[in-house]
Amino acid sequence: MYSAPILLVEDNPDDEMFALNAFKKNNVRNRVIVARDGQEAIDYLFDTGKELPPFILLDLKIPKISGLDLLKRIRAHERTKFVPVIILTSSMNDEDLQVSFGLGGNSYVVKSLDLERFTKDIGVLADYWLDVNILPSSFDV
Amino acid sequence: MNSKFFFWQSLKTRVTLFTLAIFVVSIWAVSLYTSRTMQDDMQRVLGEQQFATVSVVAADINAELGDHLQALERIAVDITPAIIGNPKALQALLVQRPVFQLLFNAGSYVTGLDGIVIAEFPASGKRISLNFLNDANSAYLVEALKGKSIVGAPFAGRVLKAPVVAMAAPIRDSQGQVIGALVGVINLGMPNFLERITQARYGRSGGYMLISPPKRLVVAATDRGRIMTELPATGVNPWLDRSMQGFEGFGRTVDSSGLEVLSSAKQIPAAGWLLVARLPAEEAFLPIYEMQQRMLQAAILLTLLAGGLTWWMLRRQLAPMLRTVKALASLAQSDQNPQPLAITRQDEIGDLIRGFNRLLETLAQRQETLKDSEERFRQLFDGASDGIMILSPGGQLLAVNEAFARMHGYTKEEMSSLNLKDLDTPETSRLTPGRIERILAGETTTFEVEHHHKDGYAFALEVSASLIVSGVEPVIQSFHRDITERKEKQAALRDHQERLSTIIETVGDPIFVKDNDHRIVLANQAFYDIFAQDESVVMGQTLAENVPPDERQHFLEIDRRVLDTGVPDVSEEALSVIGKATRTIVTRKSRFIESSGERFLVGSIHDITERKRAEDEIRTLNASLEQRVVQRTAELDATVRDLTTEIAKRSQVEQALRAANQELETFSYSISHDLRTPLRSISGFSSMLEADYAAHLDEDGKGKLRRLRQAAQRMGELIEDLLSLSRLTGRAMNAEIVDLSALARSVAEELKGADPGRSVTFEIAPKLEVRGDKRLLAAALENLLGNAWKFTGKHTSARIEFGATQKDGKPAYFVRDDGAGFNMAEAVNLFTPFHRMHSDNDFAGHGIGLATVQRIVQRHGGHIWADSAVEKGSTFYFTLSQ
Repeated sequence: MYSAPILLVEDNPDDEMFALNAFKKNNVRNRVIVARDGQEAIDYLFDTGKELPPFILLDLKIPKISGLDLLKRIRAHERTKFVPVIILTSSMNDEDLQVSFGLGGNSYVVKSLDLERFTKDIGVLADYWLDVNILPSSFDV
Repeated sequence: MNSKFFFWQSLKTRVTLFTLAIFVVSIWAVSLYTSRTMQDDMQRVLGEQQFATVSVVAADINAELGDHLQALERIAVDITPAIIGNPKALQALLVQRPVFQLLFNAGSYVTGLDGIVIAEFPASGKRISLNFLNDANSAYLVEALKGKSIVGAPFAGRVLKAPVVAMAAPIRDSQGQVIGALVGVINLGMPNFLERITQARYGRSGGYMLISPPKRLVVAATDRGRIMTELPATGVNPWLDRSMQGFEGFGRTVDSSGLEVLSSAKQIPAAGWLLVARLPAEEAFLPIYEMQQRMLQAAILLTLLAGGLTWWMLRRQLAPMLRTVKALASLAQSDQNPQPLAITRQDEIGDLIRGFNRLLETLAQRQETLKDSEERFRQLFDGASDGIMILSPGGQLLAVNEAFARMHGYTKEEMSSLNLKDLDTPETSRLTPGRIERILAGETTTFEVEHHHKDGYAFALEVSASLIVSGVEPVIQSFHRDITERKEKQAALRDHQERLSTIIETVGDPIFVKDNDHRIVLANQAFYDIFAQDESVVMGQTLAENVPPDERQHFLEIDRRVLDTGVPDVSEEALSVIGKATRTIVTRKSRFIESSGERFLVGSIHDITERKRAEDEIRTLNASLEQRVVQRTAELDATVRDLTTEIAKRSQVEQALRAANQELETFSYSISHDLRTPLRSISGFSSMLEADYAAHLDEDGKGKLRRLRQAAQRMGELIEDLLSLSRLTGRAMNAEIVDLSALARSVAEELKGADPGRSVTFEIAPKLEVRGDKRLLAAALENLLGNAWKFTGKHTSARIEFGATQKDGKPAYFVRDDGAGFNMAEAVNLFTPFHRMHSDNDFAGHGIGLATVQRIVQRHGGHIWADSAVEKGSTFYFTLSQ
């Protein structure tokens, strides 16, 4: 179980609230760091003083640096190349979603109109990336 | 060396054998003749000798018998009737005659006329009172009582129990009357006067035999065992039979035991007996047989001696000849010139060899001459430019000359092992047997053949062949000339003529050749046609008679000029063949001179009548056409201008339309996307309210909150549909062959699988294939079939059909159901997005499906329409290409 804060990259405050609500409902106790745009996310991730998050929840439609570009840079950086990234998308038919998997995205969650479903999906993925998928010990470089 | 001269062919053998044969035949003939003659002579001598002996013995016996009878008669005289009446006195009388008793060893007795014995000697008393007339053998007694002295036949004595012969004499009284008989008996088994016969032998193994003919009884014989035996019946021994009948003499005969004997017979008159002397021929002729044997031995010896001598003599005499034969044989085998043969003797053989030598000399001279002649012929043979071949009737090449070998590419040596078959090509080979047969029949023939060269190619030869009958077997001599070049020239000439004739005939125009006197010598069919004449009529004619005089004059003038000057002429002229319409022709004439110096005119005619007429017509037409063209062109120009303007306008409108469409697509996409975010907030927060603040809300509030959430949910779905519609229609088309039937079947399976409780029959026409975007067409069918499925939902069972029909000559596909249907009057906005024909309560839906289908159909260049009635079902038709 990772106790480090989760990084949520999301510019819409409503969606942020739904995500936080989902963590809460699923008893995820980790602190959640919210980045409002790509740049904030990069600043946080590449700051060696900060702990690496157990996973990143990334909305693709964000200001300054697009979600896809951000993903590219995360995967290109030695420090962050193994951090799991969960893509937030408004529709399964989103073409950017397909692209994101090619760039190293690990999972995705549809921002459904059905909040219960969204909450449940977040819960399943958080459990997986926090408890089930234990990274190798040499991971922390 | 001699071995072969033992054969029949050898002269030595034959002469020897012939000599021997003569010798043997002579010797054997002489010896056979001699022995035969000697045998006859000897038989006569021996026979005469035997007969003489038998005659002496017979005379002797006859005399003895006469003595015996005389003795009986003398004593009978002494017996008087008185004495007869006194048996004692009679007995005494008999006893007192001892000499008489000696003559009859079996005693004697006296009977009375009654045949009863009165007295006997010796006086044994056995015969007294016996009546001998009762005896079966009493013939002698009967004769005696009749008054005749007699020697009886031998018989088995009743008293003596032995073979006996009785003799009897009558006893007379003083008057000469017979009063009784005196009988003397001789026992043949006891010694008696016949002993000289029984004890005498004739020769070493021969003997005598005394026979009593009446009963064929043997009275006495050298072979005592035969006494009293009966001789073979009449017919067994003819000679004996003849003797019995009185024959006297000798003869050669075969007796009953099969023995060949020399016999003599002599009668004994006193007793009527027969004396026979017998001597086996084997013994009688023994000297002759021995002599014959000796002669045979001598003959064999002489034969061998004569054969050997002849052989030796011949060998000696013939030796030089054999040597000559050998010398001649070796001469014949060797190639050296004949050498004269050695003459060793001056006899006939010497002459013969001399003759041979002269013959050899002549032969050598002739050979020399022949060699010269052969050499000359050989040079002629090999020097000949023609190929010469000597062939056996079987086709074997016996000899060929240099030229023949050269023209076939072989050496003469190689050719000697070949057969004509090896040279003939198959075509020639087929004819060869027939040709050989004709030549063998004596025919001299010339023909052409094809032979294979050694290098494999075939070439033609002219052959002249004949039969040569000399020597053992007739042979065929043939002369060959390579005629390849000639054939080629002929072929080339033929080709040339063929080509020329083909050209002349192929050229459609009439062509003709005339000689210096205007007579046609060559023309083609077209020429005959234009003059309406046959080839046979035209040849040699001028044809001037067939045209009117003025035309005729014109033609002939031009002919003359061209023939004389050699300047070619081309003239357009009229040709009025009599009986035909006048034609306009162009005639070309030129001259050529053959190598012989003869002049010819070559002409060709080109009929331009039709062309002329056509040209005239065209000229007339052209004038009016030009006018019309000017007019039409002006009209066309105006139309084209109008059209161009129209096209430009349309193009602008279309472009604007396309741009507007594009804008609309983009807009609808972004708007639907952007709308989703606030909608999510509405939906999300109402959810949170419901979950987290339910306790603070009464039932009414909760209900409103739920409806809020539902509305948001519905709006989200609408947006999702809009998005997929724009996605469907916004992306590029990917055209391929699509099996609509397969798509329809897969949709039907999906629908049935999702709701297995329903009873719906799908009827899908097979193999409906179109060209289009598979994904779009699949979406269209999903919508149409989905609608059909949905709107038949209220029926217990339903039937949904997918098929094709014709609309304006193009295929139109349809989906038909027997469901709820709709009122066609209300169907104006059937394909407008979000327009719905049924309430949500009846059939759930967004009203986007048909709009999607229409967009897809339109993108494929087709259109869609529907046909329906309430509760009668609906049919949706669509086409796919313009």
